[in-house]
Amino acid sequence: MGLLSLLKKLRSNPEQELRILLLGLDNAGKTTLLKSLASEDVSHITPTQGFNIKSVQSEGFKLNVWDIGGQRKIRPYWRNYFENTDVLIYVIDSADRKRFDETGEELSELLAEEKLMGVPVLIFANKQDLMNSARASEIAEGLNLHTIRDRPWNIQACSALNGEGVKDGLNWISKNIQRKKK
Amino acid sequence: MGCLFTSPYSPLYYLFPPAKSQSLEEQPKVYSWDVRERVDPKDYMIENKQNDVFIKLPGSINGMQFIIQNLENCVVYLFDNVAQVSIDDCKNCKFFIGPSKGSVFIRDCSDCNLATVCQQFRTRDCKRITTFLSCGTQPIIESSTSMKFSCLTINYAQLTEQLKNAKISIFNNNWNNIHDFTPVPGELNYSFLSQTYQLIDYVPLPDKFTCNQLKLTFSKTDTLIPLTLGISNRPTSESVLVVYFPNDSTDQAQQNQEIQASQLINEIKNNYSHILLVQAKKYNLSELSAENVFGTKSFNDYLKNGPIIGLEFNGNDASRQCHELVESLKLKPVFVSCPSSNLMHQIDTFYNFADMQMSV
Ligand SMILES: Nc1nc2c(ncn2[C@@H]2O[C@H](COP(=O)(O)OP(=O)(O)O)[C@@H](O)[C@H]2O)c(=O)[nH]1
Ligand SMILES: [Mg+2]
Repeated sequence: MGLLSLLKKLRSNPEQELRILLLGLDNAGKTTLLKSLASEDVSHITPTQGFNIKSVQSEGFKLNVWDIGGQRKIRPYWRNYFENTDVLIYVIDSADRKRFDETGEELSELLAEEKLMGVPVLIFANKQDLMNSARASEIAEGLNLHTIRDRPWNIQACSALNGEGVKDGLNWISKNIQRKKK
Repeated sequence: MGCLFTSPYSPLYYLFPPAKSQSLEEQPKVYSWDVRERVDPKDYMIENKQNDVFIKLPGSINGMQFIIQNLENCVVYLFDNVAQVSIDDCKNCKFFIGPSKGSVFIRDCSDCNLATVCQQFRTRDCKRITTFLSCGTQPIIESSTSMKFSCLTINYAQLTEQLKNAKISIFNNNWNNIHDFTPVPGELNYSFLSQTYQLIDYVPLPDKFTCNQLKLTFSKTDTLIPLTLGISNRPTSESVLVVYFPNDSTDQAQQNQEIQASQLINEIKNNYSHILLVQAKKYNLSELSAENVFGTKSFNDYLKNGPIIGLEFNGNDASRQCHELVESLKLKPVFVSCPSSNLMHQIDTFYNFADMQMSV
């Protein structure tokens, strides 16, 4: 980000408001993550038909999190939400090995999107509490994350259900955004 | 792992190695899954089988994830708690899946019959699946055709405890409210089974020994999960709404509330066969919504104690019989609707608030 646009951003958003886009396949745990970020009950979550938005306060940032439904049929609509994204969070069901290819393809397509160019991406390797879950390092390797060169990225193991690891992902975001300021 | 600036994979890492303090900070943290006991995934999987029967008894899965894939002509019973279940690439199979704390997700299956109670129900790329369902949220289907749904009816010795472990209430079943992500104009990808069919017509009971051991029944009369008609299926124009509130915020009060609701359902089932339960809902109602539904503030004090349980019955004279029964059972605190031109609107409002509270 250039210095001028950065200053502009800082001036218009004195308390650093961030627009976060939450994407991933259906059943990955996006909505559970959204509710867990907002410290709400996560035991009765309905599959998302459109999208959900929540504002969450974290480490001096105001996060405006957009959680978009992930069914195959509605993935083409993801692009309607790309504009002005500060951080992309991509959620993976680490225990659903059958769909690792599908989720990898969707992620590569997202990273190739012009409107998301340079946008930092945090990948949550979710559902680590499940017995069949692949480790974050396995997923990183399978998805060839190390080939990402055009943006900051990070993969974080977590369980949106019991909250473990979620905070560490947020920490990465806040550090990373602060780095943008320099 | 790292970002562009700190990832050891990144070429920039070598130009700007992280400062010492930072690398200390980023020392690997130990999570519960790093130290948990490793299990053999094969113990929680049934795959690549034909013409066979599999029974998992209570205590054999203990709330773990379960995977079913690539079966043909098989019957599978999971009489235990599961975390989530995926059923992939199965043909001509029959399943019972016990209380699932998370989703039951069926993909690339055809000609299967299924009975399950779960928090979420999802299908994709399926054909001709008949499901007897109890689902805590709205079931969804995608790219699936000739799907049929009915209300799950079942009981066995450990079911109450397993439902509790899965945080599933028998008073919140949305089997009749399907969302289709891929509707086809002029066609219906799903329909509801006629009430003349029962579970046993679609999923056979297991062997006698197992049935006895579990005290298993699929019958509509002995089911623990209330048999509901669904709101698209009201037989008459006379409905009545009965709502139970928890007396205080203790577990005991919530238990009493559930017992009372069950008692009313059973009394009606046993004495008035022409009055049927349309739907049950359990959810947290806000004060403002409550005033809207009940037309009075007098129930507001109970709302903070916990979720309410609402039951809609339908049938000739349903209103009078419910008033009498509730009176004679001396169950309190309770609301029973009065016949009025506004009643159906009142009931719709009650369901709408439930749906609103269920969405994020
Ligand atoms: N065991 C486990 N289940 C999870 C976790 N995160 C989400 N789930 C479950 O996965 C299912 C799908 O979650 P949901 O948030 O609706 O996924 P979405 O489609 O990506 O929004 C639900 O049944 C959740 O309870 C997790 O970390 N661990
Ligand atoms: Mg969702």
